[in-house]
Amino acid sequence: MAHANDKTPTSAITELVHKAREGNRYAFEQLVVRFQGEIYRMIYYRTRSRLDAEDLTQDVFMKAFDHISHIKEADRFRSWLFSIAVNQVRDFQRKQRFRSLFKVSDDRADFERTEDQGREEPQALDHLLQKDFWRQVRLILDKLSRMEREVFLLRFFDHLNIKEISKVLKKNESTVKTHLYRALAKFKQESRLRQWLQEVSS
Amino acid sequence: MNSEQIEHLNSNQLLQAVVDRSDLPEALQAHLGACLRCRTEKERFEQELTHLGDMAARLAPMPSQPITLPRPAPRSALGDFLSGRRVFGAALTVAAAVLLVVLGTFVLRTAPVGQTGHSHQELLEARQLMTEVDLLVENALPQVYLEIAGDAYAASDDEFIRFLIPPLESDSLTSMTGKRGLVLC
Ligand SMILES: [Zn+2]
Repeated sequence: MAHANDKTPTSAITELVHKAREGNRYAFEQLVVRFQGEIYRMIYYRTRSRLDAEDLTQDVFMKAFDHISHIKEADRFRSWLFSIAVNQVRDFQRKQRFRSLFKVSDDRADFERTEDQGREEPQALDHLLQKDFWRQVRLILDKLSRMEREVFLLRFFDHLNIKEISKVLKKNESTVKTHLYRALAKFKQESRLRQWLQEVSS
Repeated sequence: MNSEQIEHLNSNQLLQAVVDRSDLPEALQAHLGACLRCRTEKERFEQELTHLGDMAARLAPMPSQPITLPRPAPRSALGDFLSGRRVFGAALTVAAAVLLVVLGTFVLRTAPVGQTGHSHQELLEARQLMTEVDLLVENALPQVYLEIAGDAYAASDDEFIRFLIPPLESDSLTSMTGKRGLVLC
């Protein structure tokens, strides 16, 4: 998976944000290129559905485009974008819960299904690895509370630091740390996933 | 430091160190910095978490759709200068107002002759009225009274005016009181 764009220097991103804020469309398009994959994955980790991740990523960038002129700190663009994404996902999950009351099946979730559409067909081994990995991840994430899960994902899957998480979730840093600590304690007990990870990496 | 002689970090303290090392008591931070065993244990756990995140990124699908942004508004040189959608909206309003004025002028110019003739007549009447008003402002008395009072020729007789109303500088009363109107009463 190509993540070459993830290496864009922070100063270059800040420069692009400044330009986009002044109405430079090309600069905003550059920001989309830089962050689309990251935001898509972030949403996928939470919705467990490729199709929903596509739709919500589009919504996140539309919202960002509409509000880019209001961004105060250009150097915090990434966490600003994650705030929008977190809110979009929350809103989506609220609607999902409402729909589930009326027993509309969640047929878009594919966390447990294999990725068998669209992208290049992976090799059989990768295919199994992928399937197994997401099943294990789901098991651990389902054991965490909503806040523990969000903080854990933001920290270790989305690579935000404590300060950024605090901004994104609008919680103070000590609250974030408490949830992260609890999530880590639960993760540590998941010897099966940890063992599996060690085997895969060795 | 001999790590066997002192107490190592327990599992809760190690977790706390992973969350934020600076939250540990100073003594434990110092121990973590010096003790290879504790440091290795902490780093191994951190590596597991890093690996988990890396695996997730590697095994997650890639977006297949490009992001579609709203179509850009048509741009001109002025539009480029005044970039920003709010400015564009304001410019659009101004353009609409200018268009209204131009259209209004055009409609008036091309209006039927009767209508313009009527307006022209009104204009002439208004001018005449204003001339009369100006005359009244200059002197409100009718001509016959002006002749009786001798005021009909007063405007040309400066000496007579100075006799009636002495200049301010020669009037001790007004200069003392500072009230110009006093002399006339
Ligand atoms: Zn130790």
